Amino acid sequence: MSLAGLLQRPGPTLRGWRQVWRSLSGVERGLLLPSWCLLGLARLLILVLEFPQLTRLLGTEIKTGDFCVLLAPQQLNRATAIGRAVELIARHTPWASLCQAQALVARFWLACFGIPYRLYYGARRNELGQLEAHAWLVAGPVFVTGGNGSERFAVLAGFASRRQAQVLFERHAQH
Amino acid sequence: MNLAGMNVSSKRSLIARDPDLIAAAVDGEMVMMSVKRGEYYGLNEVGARIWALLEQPLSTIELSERLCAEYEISPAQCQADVEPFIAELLSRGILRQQT
Repeated sequence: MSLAGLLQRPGPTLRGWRQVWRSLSGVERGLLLPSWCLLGLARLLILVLEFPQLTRLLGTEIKTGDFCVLLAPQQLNRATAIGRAVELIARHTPWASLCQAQALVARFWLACFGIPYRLYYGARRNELGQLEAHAWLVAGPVFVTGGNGSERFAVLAGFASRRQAQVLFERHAQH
Repeated sequence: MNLAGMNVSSKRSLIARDPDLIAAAVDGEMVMMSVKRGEYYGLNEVGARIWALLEQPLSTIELSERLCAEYEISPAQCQADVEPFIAELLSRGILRQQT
């Protein structure tokens, strides 16, 4: 899997961190340190587990299905906050926290807050003709992690929270 | 030529797509992913055409015949090119043999 749109930047200065901290909401601040730890755990799981075992942590398989559920305003805010916090702290782990790890951690937080989500894996051929893969997480209309550039990838696998998956399967049954 | 697991009697058996694979057409090529194996695959235009032809299960002979009709290639050369490709896809679980 290549670095799909993720850049590792040098760490900000202490003053830089103070500015960042001030710009964060309470939820985002609270999520930073636990997310940092979870990203480490996610990296370990990705390295150690076979992919089918890993997918059991992702939710119900929905293949390429998509169904945008309505989220309450508080859920929208929470989902956005989770995405911001995870993507922010992912840039500051000493190991590479790529799209898959970020999606895993953010998906965990969404489940904690009871927010329905869809997690997708996709692939494309980049400008050099190489096969490139990406993972991104969506909750309602919000791209939580990996949204940047995700539209360039063909969706090849999907996983969703149980409730979201149920809604999707019921819809299919109706048609 | 090493036909990697394909013996003469299996040339008449049908080749079919793995139904669990999700594939997407992108710019005349195919990208696909196997969740079971955690692998991504890319097929170029000819590979993509073979994948399209295998919408219904075919034997390698039928597949070669159809490809010969579409591409400027001799039947012998076509069969010689197709068999290793099919063998590769079989070994990766992208295609399966139906008896």
